[in-house]
Amino acid sequence: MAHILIHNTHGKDNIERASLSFVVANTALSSSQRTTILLTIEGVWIATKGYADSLQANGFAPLSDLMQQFVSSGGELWVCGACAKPRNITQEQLIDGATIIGAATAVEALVNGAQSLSL
Amino acid sequence: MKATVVAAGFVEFEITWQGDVFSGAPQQSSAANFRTLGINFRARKALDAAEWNAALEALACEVSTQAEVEELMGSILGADAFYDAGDKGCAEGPLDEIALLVRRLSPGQTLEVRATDPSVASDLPAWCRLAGQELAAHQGDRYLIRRT
Repeated sequence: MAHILIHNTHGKDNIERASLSFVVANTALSSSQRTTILLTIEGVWIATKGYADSLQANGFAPLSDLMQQFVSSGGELWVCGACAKPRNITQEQLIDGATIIGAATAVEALVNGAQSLSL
Repeated sequence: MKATVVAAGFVEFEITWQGDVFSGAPQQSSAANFRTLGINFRARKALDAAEWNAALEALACEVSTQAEVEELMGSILGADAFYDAGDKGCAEGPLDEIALLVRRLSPGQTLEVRATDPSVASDLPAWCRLAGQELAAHQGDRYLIRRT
């Protein structure tokens, strides 16, 4: 099994890119691959409770539906701690399944062979 | 410090001033690591044994508080070295400082880290695996790293 690491830097500033991250990730999960979405920069907002509820990009399923499918299928949601902190986002504000991580966690995944795709 | 002064026969111990006297000094970084402050204090010699005994008894009631303070300022896991990362997250470089401190240890020696940032709970174990160091213990915001 490969480890697929999808890196998303966008929230409301580009809902299409954010949605596409979850579409690709859900495809990886349905292909039985270990799959992680790494949220950085504005993307960290996506992991906060309620943020994605009203977001839907043209031609995509609602973002909250894509996220629900991702989490319930065993996807790992990593939230960049260095990006969350200046936005005053704490672990308590995050949806279930989301974890605040730092650079070493991402580096370890890459060292261990994770294949990454940035959006 | 109060315990030491009172045990020496003094009463009415009081810190009258404290402040940062190490900023800009050559030992600044070491002072910061240990949260060192400059202080002024005063106390007077006990008038008699009764007054001194009363002061000693009052001090005993404060011991738990003092223990809590000391717990925040040093190792509670019996480590050879201690580093307080406070709430520093990965963008503020605590792992760089931890790496430096671990390199100064001899094989088998330990560094205890206190770190409250949530990213450290994921990152410190990851760093230990990457750097080939042993995470010997983890209790709450305390991490014990043993140099391999």
